[in-house]
Parts: sequence; structure tokens; C-alpha cells
Amino acid sequence: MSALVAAPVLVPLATVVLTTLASRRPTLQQVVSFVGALIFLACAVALVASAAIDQPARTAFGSWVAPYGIEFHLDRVGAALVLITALMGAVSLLFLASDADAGPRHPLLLPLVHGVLAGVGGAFSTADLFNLYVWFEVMLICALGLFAIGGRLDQLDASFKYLVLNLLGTLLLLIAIGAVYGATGHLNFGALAEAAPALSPGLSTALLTALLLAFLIKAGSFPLYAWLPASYHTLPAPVLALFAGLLTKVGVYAVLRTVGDVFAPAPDVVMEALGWIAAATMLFGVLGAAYHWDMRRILAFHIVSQIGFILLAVALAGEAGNAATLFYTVHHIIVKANLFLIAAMIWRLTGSYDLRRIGGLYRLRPALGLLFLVPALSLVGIPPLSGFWAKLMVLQEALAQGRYAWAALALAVSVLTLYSMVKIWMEAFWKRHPDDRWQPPAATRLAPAWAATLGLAALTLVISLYPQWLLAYAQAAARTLGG
Amino acid sequence: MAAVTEDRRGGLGWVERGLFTALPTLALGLVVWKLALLELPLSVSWSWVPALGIDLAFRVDGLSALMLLMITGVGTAVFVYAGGYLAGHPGLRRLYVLLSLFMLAMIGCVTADHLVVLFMFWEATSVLSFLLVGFDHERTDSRKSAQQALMITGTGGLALLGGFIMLGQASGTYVISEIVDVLPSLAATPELTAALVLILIGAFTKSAQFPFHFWLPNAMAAPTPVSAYLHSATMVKLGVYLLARLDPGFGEWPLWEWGLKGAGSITAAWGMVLALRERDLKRILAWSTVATLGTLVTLVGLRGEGATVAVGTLLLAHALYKAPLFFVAGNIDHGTGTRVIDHLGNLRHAMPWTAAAALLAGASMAGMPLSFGYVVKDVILEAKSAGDVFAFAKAANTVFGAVAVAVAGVAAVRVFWRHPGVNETCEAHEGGPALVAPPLLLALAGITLGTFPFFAQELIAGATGAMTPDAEAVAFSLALEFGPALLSLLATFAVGVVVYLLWDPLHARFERAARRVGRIGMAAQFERALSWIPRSAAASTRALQTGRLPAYVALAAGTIVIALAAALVADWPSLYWPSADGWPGGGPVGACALIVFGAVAAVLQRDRLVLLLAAGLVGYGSGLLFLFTGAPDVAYTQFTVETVFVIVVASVLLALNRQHRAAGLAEPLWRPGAFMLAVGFGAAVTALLLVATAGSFDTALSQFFAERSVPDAYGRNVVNVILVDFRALDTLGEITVVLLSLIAAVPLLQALRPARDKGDGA
Repeated sequence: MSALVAAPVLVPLATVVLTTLASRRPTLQQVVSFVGALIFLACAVALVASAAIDQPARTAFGSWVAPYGIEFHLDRVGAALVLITALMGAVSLLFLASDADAGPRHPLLLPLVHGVLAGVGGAFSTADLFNLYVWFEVMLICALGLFAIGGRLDQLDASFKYLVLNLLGTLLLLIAIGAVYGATGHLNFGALAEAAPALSPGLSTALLTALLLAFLIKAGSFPLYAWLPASYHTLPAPVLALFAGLLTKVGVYAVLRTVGDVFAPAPDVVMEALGWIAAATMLFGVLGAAYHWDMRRILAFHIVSQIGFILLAVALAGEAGNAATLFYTVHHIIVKANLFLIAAMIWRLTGSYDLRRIGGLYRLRPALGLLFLVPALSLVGIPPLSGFWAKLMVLQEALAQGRYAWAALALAVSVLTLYSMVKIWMEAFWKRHPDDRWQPPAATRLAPAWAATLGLAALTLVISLYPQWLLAYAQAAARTLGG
Repeated sequence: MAAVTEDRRGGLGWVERGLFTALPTLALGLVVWKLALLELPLSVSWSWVPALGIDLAFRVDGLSALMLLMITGVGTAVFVYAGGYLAGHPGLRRLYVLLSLFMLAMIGCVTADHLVVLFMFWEATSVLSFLLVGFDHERTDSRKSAQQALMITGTGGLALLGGFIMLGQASGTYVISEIVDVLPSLAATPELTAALVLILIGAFTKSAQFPFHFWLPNAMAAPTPVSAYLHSATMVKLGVYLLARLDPGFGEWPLWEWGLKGAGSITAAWGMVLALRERDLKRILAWSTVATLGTLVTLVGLRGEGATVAVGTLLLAHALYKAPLFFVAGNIDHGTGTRVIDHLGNLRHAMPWTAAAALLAGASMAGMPLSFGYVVKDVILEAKSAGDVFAFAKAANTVFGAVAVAVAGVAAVRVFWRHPGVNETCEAHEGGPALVAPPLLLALAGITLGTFPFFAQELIAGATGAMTPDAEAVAFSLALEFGPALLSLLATFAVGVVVYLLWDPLHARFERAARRVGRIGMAAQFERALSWIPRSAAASTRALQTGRLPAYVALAAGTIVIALAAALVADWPSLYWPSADGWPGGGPVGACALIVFGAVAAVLQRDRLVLLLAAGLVGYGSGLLFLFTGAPDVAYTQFTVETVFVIVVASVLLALNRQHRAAGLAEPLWRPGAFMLAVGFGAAVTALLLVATAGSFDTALSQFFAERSVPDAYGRNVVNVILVDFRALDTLGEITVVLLSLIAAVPLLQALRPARDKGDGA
């Protein structure tokens, strides 16, 4: 065991403490925050490196061995997601240094951001069901603070909706964990996996349903996603990108861990239901996106829709489905966060998120248009961008399993995704600015924003052109699941 | 003036224009050089994504070679022409970059030997076409046309992807040359049939076949070089190319054969008829392109090698006459400022070179002897008389041939030689050499091949060999023949001339009829489908995302209840329920009764303070329950927490009361929906917990904690040891939550104050 395994929690937590202490000295706080993010990133790289050579970091805290103590176990799936978490944290903090919708600089903003990272890191690392719940709570409380930090009335309204609906999920999760513990006597993933086959089919269906419902609320799946589009658009852009990238994905990860690993193979009826829920999530998410004109709302609904794709991969199960899940998740986090950040840059240049009130960006900043096309087309799934490989894996598996309805729906949703990305492109970039007297802002501080978005786009391009590395990693990760 | 291109070089100098133009020229040289030196087929393959079995596999056979020559040859002409046509335009560099990328994508498409690689380049052409059609992006109709083209070819592309995956899975490989070999031996499973249909949809959207034909004329919003390149010579032929590529595999399938012949014939006839509706020269040419594509698709569907010879020759001939005619239309637009044929006439004086090019290209299009078009007509006639052509295809071909003559007449004769007096633009003028040379040279190439058809013999033979499974069966010779074909051509020609002479009255009559068709036509259907997206999106989103929190909670809670109930019912017989004799004694039951009483009382209260106290009973009840189930210290903690909570909140409420801000709850006491939801939720959760705890509990953990607490953890209170040692990490997490909630509360409290003061808070 190495101390590294605790890094996904300890490094961000230490940063929370230090940034809180430094909250009266903004410059120092920012430096501490960056250093913390970079250390987290370095630790995450080390974790992935050791997971990739089949030596996953794992430890039982206090040396109380599993199943008695709490275990952290960073297999390939967990390590990859921790790495992407650390990366998104660093990128968001970088973007925060620009003036593109970064929100008011509250002294407690940075501690709360690192608190989110600690919660997400813990959730991806733990191998204990109740401990997972604790990290969900950490995320929830930090998210709440970040919603309220701007202090606008719509933000307070959003934070209340976020709180109530997520508390419902948290409550259900607690009930479900209690029921699981009552039925099996265990909380450790490994011990649960051993105890699961002894459960009667009806009981395991019931327990999994309760667990999955709680996780699906967190993941933002149909019909439990109302909190997401109701709240996300009120966040300042860098925090929004972080949330959009990470929070729902923790829910999806928990679903994968539950039905794809710990309780695998899950009862057919559960997987069948999950598949249809995923299909509905894809469809209604993208319809919501087609309806809206505010870029943030459009993109928020696309989170929902893409969650549907990832859940579909989970529902397809097996090695191919699980590999697709991991690949899709990593691709999607990068692309979706980037789109939100680029939308914030558009806001800075044109003064609005509302597509009806902006335009003329292609003439002003053709490079921004090019930058936008990378994640936008990737989201649609235009080859050879990363989203294409993700969708190809899902479609291949769906068709191979004879799930024609799901595959057809996935293709139809892709058309609608294309429609709404084309909408953003035509309205924000191609169209003239509706106000003839509109002048682009004279002085902007967008250099950090450019660095952050270009970095993410470069990452997308690397995954796009050399998908083999991530694909092979995801396939190896899938082989270790459920065994 | 616009004509003096040298004066208006604008942002792009000669050097850069030359460099860009060198790209297709070099590619053309390379293709010709390699074709002369090397034996076809060439293939090369690099490993790309072994995890998914995807190789960058390329293969050049006769068909690819023909396409390559067209792509690079017409490409060279287009690049030269674009430099003249958009000289001085600030977007010329963007156009060149996009055109270069487009040419690369086309080359990739026609050489790819792997379905996924082909699809990648296929989608690239769609996206680039979107960017090129929307070149004048500040014009609304440009944007609309670009969107239409992308939505249709993009949808078709996704259908194609589905088809490709199913085809690959059915035949066990994604390598196209292997698939074509394997396909004839495969049984016609439903999967393979579905794959076929999806691939047909993909190809038909790309090649503007009925019922997806309407996007192509609208794409004429693009600058003329783009129209000539994408929408006549190359991209729209991709569908035909794909069909021809897969024809050796699918050829024997009736669905394939009849699908191609049916859609192709309808498109050929309908496209020509619609050409009559137009007054814009470019749109007239676009409809005739649609019709030609229909003819090509029909020919691919026909059996027999004669048909494949016809496909090869028509592909080449069309590129050699239609691209110059588009250039001519562009020159007219450039020189007169309009493309509407009513305003044009007698342009031969002002634009002699363009007129010459138009005449040469028009002759080929009309199929006059000594043009390559004539050779094509000859070959097609042979193919049709040899194949078992159904009557409609014949009729369609006659309409196609006749109207082609008429369209050629309009483009080459009418605007240059006839129709005097209406010419409103008196300053009509010829363009520079960059505008004149490309159409002239391409049209001349068509005439040269028409006079000496054997020049094209080897090229067409190669393409035919690639499209025909058993290559030795192909024996033909392209030669100048004046046999029975001439007679039939004369008949077509005569009808064509009549149509040409009656163009205006036919148009008028047609316009009236077509207006009615317009409302039910495919373009209108597409618009309707497209507007369905925002409408259904609005309906579903307004229904689901009402903005009202109670609705959200009800939806979520309702879903939970229904899902849990369904899960419990799904496998009812395998569930164990707790036996009745194991029920707890009086103490726990009393505690539960207190909880229930507190909960019900809280629901019935309108006054916030009483409500709080009633809710406190729930907490005390829980504490009592802990006490009776053997956890006294947890119980004491619960009592303390509950007491502190009630006191704190009560004092806040009292303070608010003094400020008259704590109004009672205004909601009605009895809400049946909420009642049912609450009962359902309680019942579902209770049932879940009952079945979960019905079995014998695995006490491994609690035994371990009890046994090891004293010797290993040095603590006599097991609960405390669990909290601070066995599961200390949970406690760390919970402490973090408390700390972070304090941090989170600071901004929240700060936020509340100004928000309340400001009122709207914006």
C-alpha cells in the first residue's frame, strides 16, 4: 500500500483547508489553489500509471482489512476518472483567471471548488458503499455553496431546486444502502460481490432498483433530471464546466460500478429497464436542447442526452458495453466542459448567452469558430473525432445484441444533436449581430480562457486521432470489472 | 469593375493563389503518373485502431482511378476558376482552404477500402459542404440552404453508419473489397436487408435521389466554383460511387436492383421536369444534375456489363460537360450580375469565349455526334437494349434525353445567341483568363474524347472491370459509331428541340401546376419535419421542465414509487417476507408509533412553530427506537441533536414572528395526489426494507467489531470505535461535510441579505 491511494481525497481536502486559511489573501490563495490542483494531477497520473500495469493502488484505512474497514481501490476505471477529475479541476481553475463569465470572486469560491474535487475523487476511489454515500454528501454540500455564491435570486432559486431534488436522491441512497447492508451484512464492494449471488432474484432486483434510482437522480437521467436544467445555467462558467463534466458522471460511474461490477451480472429485467431509461434520457434531453436558445441551457440538456448514451452503454453491459462506458465518459467530460467554456468566451465577446441576441462571431474571431467546431462536432459524433469512436462502440454493441430500437434512437438523437450544434454555429458565428451598432468589447482578458479551451480541444484531437490508447485502456478496464 | 480580376486581387496575392492551385494540379499529375506506371488495383493499409479492428486501408482500382481523375482534374479547373471568380473577395483564402480539405476528403472517400474509413471521409465531405454552401454566411438563404444540405446528408450519413455496422457484422469484416467478395454467398437475413436499406438511404441522400432530391438545387446558394465542384462533378457522385462499389456484392438482390432502378428513374424524370420550372440558369443546371444522378443510379441497378460501361462513361462525360456549364453560368453571373434567363440574351458579342465553351459543353450534354456525350448515349442505349429494362426506365430515359437537349439549348444557345432585346444589363463583359480557360479546356476535353473515344477506353475498361465481378466478361470498345443509335438520338433530339423552343410556355404552364405540388412536395415535407423538431421539443420540454419544484419532486417521487413497486412485483414469488412471530416487543412499536404520530401531525399543521415541534417528535421517536434496539449512545446523540435543532429553529421562527414575517403555510390541507404519493412512497420503502431484512442477517461485521474492539482498537464502546477507528474515513468525510457546510453557508447567508434588499436580485 502506498500513501498515493488516498491522494484523490487528501490532496483536495488539504487544499480546501489551505485555501480557506488564505482566504484573505487572494493572490496567495490562488497560488495555493493552483499548486494543489497540480499536485492532485500528478498523483492522478501516477495512479493511472500503476493501474495500467495491473498494479491498482488499494489500501484499507487504519489497516482494518476488507471487508471490515473501508477500502480505497483504484482500478483502471477509477484511476482514469480520477485523472480526468484532476484535469478538469486544473482547467477550470485556469479558466477562472480569465474574465469570461468567471463570476464574482468570492474568497470561499476556491475552497468550495476543491471540496467538489475531494468529493468526486473520493467517490471514484472508494470501494465501500457507505463511504461512497459520504462523498456524495461532500459533493452536494459544496455544490450548494457554489450555487449560492453569486447571490443572485435566480441562483438561490436554482440552489433550492438542486438541494431538494438531490436530497431526495441522497435519502433514497441511504435507504438503499441500509437495505443492502440488511440483506447482505456488507458494505465493501468485494464482499458485496461475493454475497450478491446468494440473494434471491427478486430481492436483488429490488435492492438494485433502489440503488440505481438514487444514482440515476445524481446522474440526471430521465425522468429524474429536472434539477439539472433547472439549476446549471445559473452557475459561473468555470464552475459550470466543472459540474457539467464531473457531477453527473459520478452518478453514472456509480451505476456502472453497481450493475457492471459489484452486482454483475445484474438481473435482466434491471438491465432492460436501464436500457429504456437510457433511450428516453437521450431523446428527451436532446429535445430540451432543441427547444432552448440560451447556450447554457442547450448545453445543459445535452448533458442529459449524452448521459443517456453512456447509460445505454452501461445497459448493454459485457466487456464491450463497459469499455464503451469508460471511453464515452472520458470523451464526454472533456468535450462538454470545453463547450461550456467556449460558450462563456462567446458571452464575453458578444455580451449574451441568448443565441437570438448574438452573432457576427465568425467575422470577429474565426479561430474561436474553429475551436468551437472541435468539441461540437465531436459531441455530434462526426468522425474521426472522439465522439465518433464512443458512439461507434455503443452502436456496434447495440446492433450486435440485436437492440435495433436503441440503435435507431441513438442515430435519431445524433441527428438532433447535429441540429442543435448547427443552430449554435449559425446563430452565434455565421449570422450578423442583430444589433448593427454592436461593438466587440475593447479589452478582454481571455488568454487563460484560450489556454484552457485550446488545451481541452487538443486533448480531444489526440483522443480522436489516436483512439487506440484510450480504447485499449478502456477494454482492459472492462475486463477487470465484474470478475 | 468585377471583370478586371487583376485589379481586385484583394487579400490573396498571385503567389498564394498559385500555391493553392498547385495542390490539385500536383495531385492530378500524381494520379496520371501513377496510373501510367502501376498496375491496378493498388492497395495499402496501416493499422490505426486495432482495438476496434480499424485499419487505414486504401485500395485504388479502376473505378477509384476514374473518380480520382475527375476529382483532381475538375479540381484543378475549379481552383483556377475560383481564383478568378472570387478575386478580391476577402473569403478567398477560406474558400481555398475548404476546397483543399474537400478534395482530400473526396480522395479519401474513393480510395478507402474500409467501411469506417470511408464513412469518416464521407462525413467530412458533408461537413465541408455545409461550410462551403454557407460561404456567404451572412445571407439568410445561404445559411438555410447549408443547414438543409447538412441535415439531409447528415441524416443519411447516420443511416449509412448504421448500415455499415450491420453490413460489417453480417459479413464478418469491414474491408470493402472482402465484403464485396463475401456478400453474394450470404443468406438474405433481415439484418442484411436492413443494412441494405440503410445504405441505400445514405447513398440516395448524398446523390440527391428521390425522395431526397430537393436539397441539391437549394445548395446553389454556394459560390459557383463550389457548385461546379461539389454539386456537379464530385460530391454528389459519391452516392453513385458507393452503389457502384457495392453493386458486385448486392447486385443479385431484387430489393437492390429495383430500389436503384425505381428511385433512379423517378429522379431522372422528375429532375428534368422540375428543371422546366426554374428561371435561374444555375438551378436549371442543378436539376439536370439531379436527373443525371438518377440515370447513373438506374444504370448501376441494371444488370449486365453494358450498364457498367455506361456508368463509367456517363460519370466522366457529365463531369466534362456539367462543370463547364456551371462555369459558364458563373461567368454570366459575373459579367451581367444575373443568372435569370429572362434577362439574358445575345451574350455572344460580349462574352465570346464563354459562348464558345458553352457551345462545346452544351453539344456534349445534348449528345451531339463528335462529343463524348454522344458516346455516352450510344453506350446507354446498348446497355438498355441489352438489359431487361422495365418500361418506366425507358420512358424516364427518353424524358431525360429530351430535356437534356433542351437544357443544353438554354444554357448554350438561348442566352448567347437568341432572346434579343430583353437584355437589361448593357455592361455585360467577358471575364479574365482564369474564368474562361477552365470551362473551355474541360469542354474541349469532352469533345476530344468524343472524337477519339479510344483515349478513354482503358480508363473506362478499368472502371468497368472494378464494377463487374468477373472481369474477363467485359469486352467492349469505345468507338465512334453511327449505327441505329443515331436514329434514336435523332428522335430524342427532335423532341428536345421542341421542348427548347416551347420552354417559356411550358414553364408558365408548369409553374401553375407545380405551385400546387410545392405544398405537398418533398421540400415542404422536409421543412415540416424540420419545424417538427422545435415544436415537439417545446411540447415535451414544457411538459417535463415546468419550472415548478413541487412538480419536479412529484415526478421524481412518483418514479421512485412506481419503479420500486414494479421491482418488488416483478419477481414476487422469490421474495421472503419477515415471519410474524419475529415482531419486536412493545418498546420499538411504541417508538414507531411516536414517529408516525409526529409525521402525521406535522403534515396537518399550518403554523410553522407547531409544525416544527411535531417534526421534532419524529426525531425523538427515532431516538427511542435506537434506545430499544441496543444503541443507547446513538440514542442520546439523537436526542441532543433533535433538541438543539428544535431550539435553534424555534428561536429563528420566533424572531421572524416578531417581525411578522412568519406567515402560516397557505397550502390546502388535503391534496389527494400528494396523499397517494406519500402513502405510496412510504409503502414502497417499507416493503423494500422488509424484504431486505427478512433473511438471516450476516453478522460477520458486527461480530468482528465486537471481538476486536477491545484487544485491537483499545476501546470499550463499539459504536465509538467504529466511528473513530474501524470506519474513521466515513467520519472524516462527515466532518468535512460539516466544515464545508459552514463554508457554503457563508456565501449563502451573504447572498440572502442583498438579494432580499435588492428585491429582484438581478
